Amino acid sequence: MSDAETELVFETILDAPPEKIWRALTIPEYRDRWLQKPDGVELDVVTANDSSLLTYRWQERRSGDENRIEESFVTIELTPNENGTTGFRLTHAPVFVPMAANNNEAAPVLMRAA
Amino acid sequence: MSETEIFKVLADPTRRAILERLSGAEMTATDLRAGFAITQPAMSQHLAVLRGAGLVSERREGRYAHYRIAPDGFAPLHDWLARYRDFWPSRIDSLKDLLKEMDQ
Repeated sequence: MSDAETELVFETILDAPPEKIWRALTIPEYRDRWLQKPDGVELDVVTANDSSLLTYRWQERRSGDENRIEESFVTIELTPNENGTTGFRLTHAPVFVPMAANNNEAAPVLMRAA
Repeated sequence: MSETEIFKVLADPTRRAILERLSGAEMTATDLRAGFAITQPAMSQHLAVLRGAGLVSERREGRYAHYRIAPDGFAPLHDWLARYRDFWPSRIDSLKDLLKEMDQ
């Protein structure tokens, strides 16, 4: 780790198709059930590419100082696997680093596979 | 300096790139500029902001200034990283549980 490390990355495989995971991430009733955000955190969606890329703005009001809001960004990328599972990658960073959104070359390949 | 202020300093991609370079070695402003398409005054400005934030320290040697990472300046950022490094794994487990309960 370098001293300049400024982001957290978590990767796993989820046993569900991207469309179903997308519902768990974006429908508020589902989202509240798994996310259980800490007190003082407010979320809003900055980027949403259906069933593939989602970025929340994560605003945290620090206790003791109502005027201090710490802003960070949570980006979730979903990548479908051929066996029906989905690659899940979550990046939490204090700054918004725009992702290379779904590159156009990958799309036709995915459509052929479907 | 609070983590919020550090975040603002780090929001600039050039400043992040400068820190990345300095994490390997101490460098002069001239060394640092190699490969960046920015002017000397712009580099000086970025270094001034990074020094102001306590993320970089300067050492004068003759006519040259050498820059290096100031590890203590990163403490608030490391606290933030530690907090969320603990936070997310349990949430991802909850997401896995929820997916099992949801209808297709």
